[in-house]
Amino acid sequence: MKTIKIFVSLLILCMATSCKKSYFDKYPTDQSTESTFYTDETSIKQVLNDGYFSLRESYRFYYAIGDLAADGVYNSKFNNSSQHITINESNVVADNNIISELWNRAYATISRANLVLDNIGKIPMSDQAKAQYANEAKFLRALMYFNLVRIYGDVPLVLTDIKTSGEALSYTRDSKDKIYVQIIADLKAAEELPSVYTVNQDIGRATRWAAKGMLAKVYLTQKNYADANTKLLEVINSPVGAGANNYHLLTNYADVFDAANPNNAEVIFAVQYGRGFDPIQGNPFSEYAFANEDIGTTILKRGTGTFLMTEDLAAKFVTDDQRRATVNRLAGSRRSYVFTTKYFDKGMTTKLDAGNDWIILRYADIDLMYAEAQNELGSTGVAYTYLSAVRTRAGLTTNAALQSDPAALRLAIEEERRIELNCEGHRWFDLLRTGRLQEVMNAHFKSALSDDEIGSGNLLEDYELIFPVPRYQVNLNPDKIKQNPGY
Amino acid sequence: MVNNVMLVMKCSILFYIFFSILFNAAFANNAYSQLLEKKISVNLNNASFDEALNKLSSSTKIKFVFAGKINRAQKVKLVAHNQKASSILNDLLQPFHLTYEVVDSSVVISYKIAGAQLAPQLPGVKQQQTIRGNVKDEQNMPLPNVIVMLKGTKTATSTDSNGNFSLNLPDNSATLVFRSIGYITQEISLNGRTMINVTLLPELKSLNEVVVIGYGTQSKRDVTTAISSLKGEKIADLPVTNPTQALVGQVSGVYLQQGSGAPGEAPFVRIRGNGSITSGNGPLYVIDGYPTNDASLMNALSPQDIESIDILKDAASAAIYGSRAGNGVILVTTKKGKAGKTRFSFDATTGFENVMHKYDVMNAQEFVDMAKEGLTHQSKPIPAFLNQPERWANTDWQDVIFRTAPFKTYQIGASGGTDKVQYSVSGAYTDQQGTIRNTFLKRYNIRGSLDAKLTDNLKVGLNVQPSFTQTRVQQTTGGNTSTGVDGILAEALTMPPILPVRRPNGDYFVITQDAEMKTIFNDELSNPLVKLDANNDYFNAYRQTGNVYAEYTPIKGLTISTKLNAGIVSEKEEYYVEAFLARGNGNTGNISTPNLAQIKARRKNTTNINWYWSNTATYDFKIKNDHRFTALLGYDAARQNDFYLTLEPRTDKDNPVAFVNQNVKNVQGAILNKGTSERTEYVFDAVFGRVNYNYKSRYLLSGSIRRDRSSRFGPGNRVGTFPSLSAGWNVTEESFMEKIPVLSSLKLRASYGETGNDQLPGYYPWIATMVQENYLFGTADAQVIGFRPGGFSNLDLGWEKNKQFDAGLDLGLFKERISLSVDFYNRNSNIILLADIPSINGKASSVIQNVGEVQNKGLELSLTTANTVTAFRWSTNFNISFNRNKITSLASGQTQLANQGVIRNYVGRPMGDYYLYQLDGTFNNADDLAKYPKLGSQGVGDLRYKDLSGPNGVPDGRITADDQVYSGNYQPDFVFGFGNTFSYKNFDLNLLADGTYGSEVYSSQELPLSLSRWLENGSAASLERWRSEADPGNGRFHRAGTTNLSSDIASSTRYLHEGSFLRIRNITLGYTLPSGVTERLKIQRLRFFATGQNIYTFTKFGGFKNPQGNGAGNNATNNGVETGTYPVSRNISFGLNLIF
Repeated sequence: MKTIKIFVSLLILCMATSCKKSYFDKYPTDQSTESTFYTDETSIKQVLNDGYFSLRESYRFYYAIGDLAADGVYNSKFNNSSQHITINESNVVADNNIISELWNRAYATISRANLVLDNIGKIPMSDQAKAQYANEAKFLRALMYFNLVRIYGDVPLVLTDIKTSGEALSYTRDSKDKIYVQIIADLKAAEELPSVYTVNQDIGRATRWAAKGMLAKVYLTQKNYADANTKLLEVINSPVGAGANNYHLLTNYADVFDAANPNNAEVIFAVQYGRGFDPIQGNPFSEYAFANEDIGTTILKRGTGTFLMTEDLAAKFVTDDQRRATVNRLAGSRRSYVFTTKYFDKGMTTKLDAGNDWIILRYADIDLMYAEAQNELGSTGVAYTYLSAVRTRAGLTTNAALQSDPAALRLAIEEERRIELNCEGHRWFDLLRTGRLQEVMNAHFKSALSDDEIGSGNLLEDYELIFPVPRYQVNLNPDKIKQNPGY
Repeated sequence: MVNNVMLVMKCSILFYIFFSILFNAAFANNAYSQLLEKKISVNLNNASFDEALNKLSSSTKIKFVFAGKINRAQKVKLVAHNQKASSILNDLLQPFHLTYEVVDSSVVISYKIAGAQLAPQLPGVKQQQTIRGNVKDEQNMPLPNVIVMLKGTKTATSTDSNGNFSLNLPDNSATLVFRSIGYITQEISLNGRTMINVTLLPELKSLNEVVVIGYGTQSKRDVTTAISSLKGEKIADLPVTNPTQALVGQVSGVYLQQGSGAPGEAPFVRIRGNGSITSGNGPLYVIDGYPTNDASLMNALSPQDIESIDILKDAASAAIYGSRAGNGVILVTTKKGKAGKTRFSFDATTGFENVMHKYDVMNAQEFVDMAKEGLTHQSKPIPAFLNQPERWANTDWQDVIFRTAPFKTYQIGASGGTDKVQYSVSGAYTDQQGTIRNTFLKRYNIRGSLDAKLTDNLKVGLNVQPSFTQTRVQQTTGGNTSTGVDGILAEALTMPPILPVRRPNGDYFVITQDAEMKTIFNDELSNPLVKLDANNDYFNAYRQTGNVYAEYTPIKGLTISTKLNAGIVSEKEEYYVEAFLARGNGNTGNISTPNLAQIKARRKNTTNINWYWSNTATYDFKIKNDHRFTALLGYDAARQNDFYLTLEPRTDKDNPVAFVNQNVKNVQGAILNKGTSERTEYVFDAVFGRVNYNYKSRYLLSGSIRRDRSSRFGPGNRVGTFPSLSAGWNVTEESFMEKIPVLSSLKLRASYGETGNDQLPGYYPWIATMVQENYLFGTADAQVIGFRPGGFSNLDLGWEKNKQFDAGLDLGLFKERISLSVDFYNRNSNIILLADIPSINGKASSVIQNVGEVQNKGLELSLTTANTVTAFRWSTNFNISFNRNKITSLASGQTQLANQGVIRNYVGRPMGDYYLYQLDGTFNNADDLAKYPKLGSQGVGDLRYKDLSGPNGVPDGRITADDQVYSGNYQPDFVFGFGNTFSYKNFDLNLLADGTYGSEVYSSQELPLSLSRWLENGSAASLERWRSEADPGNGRFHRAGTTNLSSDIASSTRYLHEGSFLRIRNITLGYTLPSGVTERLKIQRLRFFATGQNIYTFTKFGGFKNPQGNGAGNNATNNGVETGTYPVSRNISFGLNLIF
């Protein structure tokens, strides 16, 4: 019995000496956690800032749809990048990484917006600040849904932060119409944003003009020319003078894209990059828009060759066109490469450290959209004036006969957008909007360009006007998320 | 306590004697036996042994005969009231390690040696001759305590600590019998000799072997769970640098995947399959009682220091380690000192290593033919250089990166002690130069252990084993146009053999720096030697585990022990890339033209400091002699602190110098580009208990329960309880079995247990931390701070649990000459899954959750046979393990895991299915092109795939992702090992082979070797390529110079191979000097040996012939893509073992 007593007392000793429950409450000591983060106005602003940061990823492959899938840009096949080649040749499959990146990143930005909107109510701050942050979030959210709906068609409409796995699995694809209703509602709210920011560290945030301009583009896409017209006119008539943005066309086209001149008077909204900070702050397009052959300087010797200009588009820059300054041609051992210099930062010291921004909306676009709306509304003469403005800045005159030929003017605007907004992610969406995508692309695939630029025998089929939902997103939730037909 | 081998051996001997006595008692039927049953009372305090014996003698009228040497100073306390004399006698004898036997008219007291009857010289026998001699074991080491007996009599003696004996006999024509536990009894007829030297050979398998079971030991006979054991001598001779490599082929139920052959690289270990998807699948290592998931601690041990490795495979045996034992437990016991004369040992092995199999690539002429053919296909002109053989170099690029590398390992040690204090010290040095240039492993080990008995019931000890390891590593995997310092192998295989290694001025030859060559060849190809020389990547690791313990025995049978372990693992990386690195993408760097912008430098330091405190109480007791219990109660607590620091100085043109070649140079001059630091902490504790019950060694029962708490889980789910139950039946202990003498042992076992797994990524997997990202605003760029959730939180995260049922049998035939163990198991793991969630959540693509289930079912068989037991001894060990793995469920509604490329993981299927296009030959002509569907754009001579499906499940005339169908799995059907040991006189020979069967491997290493459109070298197998419609080759190689490479290197069965292999793992031939010679040399033992490791691999898998070669061994769901890891080395070495 004695031994059993010793044994039992040992057992009690064990229990008694064992650690307290709180001893196991270990939290990261170097970082704050999700549950403790939202405490003050600063934290809300920081999540919102990350929403802007997240645009970099959301727009990283925007060119792959806007330009690469269309006729002005090609991927040099020597890089063997099937992701790029299949988009370039209109053979996209649902496994394509770029297609899934575009989806994932858009929802990442949406999630930041939703986090701001979900948490802002609990934090004490001025109503003005509260409204501004909420409207900025809505602007970012609308921007993303506008991209999603044009790329994929119907998409899940997520408007609050998803907190559990089950919640994430409960979403189905909402109709395009429903998405557009939300986009317009969000952009209308964003019309209340400040007209201008005066503190340097805020310049580049969404303004009411960015909201109106994007709203106009949405209306234009819906062929709602009247409302588009109204919103464009508001931007065109935005106040000028001290304390205003003073939007206008810059005299020199190349200056718009100059890394040393960010957020200039032509830029209404852009994804911001900078040189000389952490390398992550530099834009990647400098490398994308460069030949994948050793023909550069030591700073940028070789690029990825995924964002090169077709000879077809290069030929559109006539001798007098001032915009030729942003088109570079270099001879390689395999071929001669043409590419845009809009993303090449002359001041960079290492590759990828380019400060040029990715412009989402700029004044020339407003001008050309206004021309488009006016033309569709029957005011061919006004449309002609706004088209001419863009051409004049480029140092070109405009065929006067267009003033009385709406159909020809429509094509002239399309052509002008192709040149003026080249390599800025517009071409695919422009043709999609006007319904000319298949006609233009199938002619392009039949043109006598080199095999490197287009794959022979390709065709843009009906179903290919929207892209597949990333295969894995369908596989993960096959009952709720259905694939687009044809993929 | 756990570690004290001597104690353990004594215990097991005690058990054996105990049962022998029981049996003897059952059949004894004479007067003295009856006298011993008499109940008497005694009350002796502080008496001497002789006084006590006399007292018993007078009380029982029994005549005791005893002439052995004992510590007569030891005092005796003997208190009993009305108890059997036999029991009182046992109580008296026990502390002196004595036993008794009834012999004719006396009760003979003797040392406890099983099966021997040691009698003193009985009076009245005529003594004429003194026979002297010496007994040794098979390793020529003296054997103490061997019973030497005159056959047919009770006349006997035993050997002393030097193995010497002397015995007085009536004459010298008799026969002597030599017996010792664990050795085969020998009879030697004297034939007139008076000097006799005997070598006893060990029994092949002894049921009295002691097995380490976790917080204790157990006799193998009494084990009720599935445990594989490997003794140190099976490890020591192998020319391997870590103990895990030595396990290969030697134990059942363990799958070892040698992913890389880099110096010191240990195989990945899987015990009974993969039970986890997100958590680790590696076992728990318990090194001298210290539990850790860090395999590097085990692999830093010198193989020669290992006494035994015991592998707890089923959940019932592992459950005592509860929380972390879900993937099985590997118990490592290092060598301890033994009482006796100091024993010095010296072991040395030196040899060399070569790449086991080189990759068969095209030679210069074959390459040029292929290149011209490709250019012709592309209608391109043939460059003049290809027609100027006089300008060609003839470079074997594999010879450029590979070498014959020296291998050395030395170990020196001393051990010994007295009854009260035992010690063991050793030092070891290992130097393994890699078969790839500029790689090596150097390791320094020291070890010391001290065990001291302070009083009769208090024992303390100390055990320290620090090691220092330095390695230099190279990045072998990667593509042949990689711009970093990786891709060495792919580059060496694809560099054109007609290009030189260096230029006349000593510069490296770099294609892109040669105006002519860069227009001919792929200018992105790198010269692999440049990278090997430029990449200085050193890891210095200091690892230390050490413990102190105290063991207190307040009363008989009860042992209370406390043990404190302190550990440090500190690893420092020093990384420096030189300015002459000439990367493929046209950098100008070279020896004569250094490019400072190429310099890269990094310093990284990871320190883990931990303590572990373990307290146990073990109580052995009996009820009515037949019911034996061992109860264990314990409390463990541990804390780990990890500290991590990286410094990356800016190394651009303006700040070129930093951390040069490990000598810090101008650190101040370098601007810190990046520095990261992190501190994390992990704590756990556990209360546990176990009871083993043993009825006459016939019926065995064991149960354990453990409650763990770990800080790695969500606040509400930190506690886990892990029970186990096991039972065994030694059928041969039943009296009805005595009629079957062939059957020497038969035990049936069954067990069920639950174990946990908390090897989650990171210490705080349940909560998402906020990640900072800076953004820029402004008309002049200005940074603003942004924050986002770095993942998806799951505050309910709890334990991953394994439930395992095991049924087994152990069978011994013909006195254990054949022994067989068979186990069947069914392991169901309720897993933690990094379950994928729709990316519309915007924060993470997956969340860690307690969802999903994985099943592993298997059969293991281990067979050991002593084929001959004569002077020529031959024994065989064969083991084979079948495991069937299946994902039984994932998150609700989820049917597969995220990785949707070559490898997919579906519910209802084993982890790691390959989904590939099915190769269907080549497009041989325009008709084929028109007839068959194509993958993207394809032309004549390209690979053709089968159109098997479409979006609607039927062939759609297009090759799309739907046509990638199930093509195989990386997990083998079975793995096996086959070992043979031969010995004849002074020679010994060991052969070990192992292999796997039934797996498939996807070789991504082959991709760059498959004839790209640029002029790169290809495998020799590509001589069978498509050349023309009339000469289409074997249908597996597309035409040279294809412009549709991406279709030809698409993931198809073209690159899938059978992964089965049989490897001759080791052959060792040893010769031990005869004792006559060693005596003259005044040494105890000297053995020379020659050994070869990884001699040859039989496999259909080509290249370096390592189908296991990939770096994903720890990843259960994305394994099986062979990526060009460091090839396995063949080692040929010579060595010696010296003991003096």
